[in-house]
Amino acid sequence: MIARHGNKPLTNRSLTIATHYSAASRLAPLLGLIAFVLVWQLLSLRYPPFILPGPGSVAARLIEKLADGSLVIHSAATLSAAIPGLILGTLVAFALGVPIAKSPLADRLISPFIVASQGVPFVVVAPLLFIWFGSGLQAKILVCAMVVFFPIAINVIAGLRSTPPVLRDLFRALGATPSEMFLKLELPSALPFIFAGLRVGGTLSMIGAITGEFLSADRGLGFMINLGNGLYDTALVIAGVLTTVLIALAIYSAIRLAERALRVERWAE
Amino acid sequence: MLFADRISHTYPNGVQALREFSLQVARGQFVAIVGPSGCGKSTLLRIIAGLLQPSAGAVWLDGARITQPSPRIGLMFQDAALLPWRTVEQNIRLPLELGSKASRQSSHHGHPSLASSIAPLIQLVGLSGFERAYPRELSGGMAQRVALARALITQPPVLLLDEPFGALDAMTRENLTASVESILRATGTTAIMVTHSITEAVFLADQVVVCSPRPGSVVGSVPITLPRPRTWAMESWPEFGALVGRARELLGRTAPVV
Ligand SMILES: Nc1ncnc2c1ncn2[C@@H]1O[C@H](COP(=O)(O)OP(=O)(O)O)[C@@H](O)[C@H]1O
Ligand SMILES: [Mg+2]
Repeated sequence: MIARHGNKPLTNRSLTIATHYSAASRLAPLLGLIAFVLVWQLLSLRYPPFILPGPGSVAARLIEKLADGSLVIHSAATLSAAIPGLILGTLVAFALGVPIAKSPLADRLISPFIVASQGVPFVVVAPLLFIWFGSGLQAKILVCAMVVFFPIAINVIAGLRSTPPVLRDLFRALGATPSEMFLKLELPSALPFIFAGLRVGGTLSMIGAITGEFLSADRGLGFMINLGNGLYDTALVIAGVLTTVLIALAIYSAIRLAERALRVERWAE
Repeated sequence: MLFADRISHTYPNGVQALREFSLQVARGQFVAIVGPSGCGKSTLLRIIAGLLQPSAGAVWLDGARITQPSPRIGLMFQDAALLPWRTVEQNIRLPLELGSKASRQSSHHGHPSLASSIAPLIQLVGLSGFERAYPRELSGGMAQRVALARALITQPPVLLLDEPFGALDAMTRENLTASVESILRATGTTAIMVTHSITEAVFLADQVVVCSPRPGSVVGSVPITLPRPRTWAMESWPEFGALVGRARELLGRTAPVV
């Protein structure tokens, strides 16, 4: 059974970018970035470029790949697995999480498999998916869905179980139907949790897609990184990693934006 | 008339919360229940509300047995229990949106106009100007005013209040108690309130019922003869003090005073 959790969505608190910025805290990430690039530059002077290329040569490689259009093609290929994978993983997380949260029987029936599935390293399972579904897009979407499913499911379950009992009493006393109970109480109560899960899942979706591409692909950021690796083109590898990180950040930000649009911050007391 | 007939309740874990608790409340009457904590007061209110089936005994409202929640009974808890994603006005309207149409219709007694326009109700509970505020922007007393308006919007003939002022500071508490007294008098609502405060019970009630320690049953009751409308100035009346004394004496008979 998946244990009950407290009233906090299950993410590392520090992962959650604060909703309200002060001027100083706005500047902090920028300062961190500048420090990072400086240290990187200094370190790169001490090593040959095939071990650690400097920020300049990585930037040059990025611009070159942007100019010839290949970076866009690779990114699009990775996203075409990451986004459907995220959506599929989310749908499955709800399809299993809702019954688990609502029925003790479903909890006992399904939860052991969910927990066990996390013990299986997906780099090992992924090749199986390629055997069963071919080396096309389908398998990559499935790898990705597998990776994002767990944090979202855990948060859906914890969120649906977080409904305060007194609100449940209130809805029962007001004669709410089961669907009203779910749509007007349980689901909105769970939103902060669900978004916490989506933020983690959204970031992981890029990792899922790249892992898929490592195993089998003829395009995509994972393929590009792999290619760079084989050619000792370390600047290309780092350029690929940076692009991946930026896209993951963009997905994270898009989910944050949706959360703000729904004004989920009102939930907090 | 509301009649709780020899209610006993034992929880599945073996805790006996109530033993043959009986209560009769006439229409429009205000009954306050005081008793040591853990004596089953909340359990009793949940049973009267139809949220919990008693192990034995029955609750009757105007001759009909209560076996499930009814729109004829409104509820207020110690926690305001507001939905944080809804504004004050949307929270107050919640009861109008839930349940089948039929049961909502039957719950509108007296003045159905109040349901369509909630402005008078918002004014009655003193929330004018806060219609669009969110619960997190409200003080504890304000939040309880929202809960009161939400309980009243369907004009239930009976209102159950479970320590509704328990979490508030003394000033807010006196204020809100006075508001509730005048509002319930104006609407003619029958009320059963659980409270820790004997003074509050005497201030609000027509009858103060004293409950024994667990398993809770009725030790005795004190009819409150003070005139209405009540004001806090009455607290200094000798009669007020005598009534508080009688209730305290009943309570003291059941358990050491803490
Ligand atoms: N759901 C429950 N399961 C088991 N025991 C309960 C439950 N709710 C309350 N009790 C127990 O029943 C007794 C009466 O509780 P309650 O009605 O809340 O008392 P009061 O409101 O007078 O403080 C207490 O001893 C409490 O621990
Ligand atoms: Mg209680």
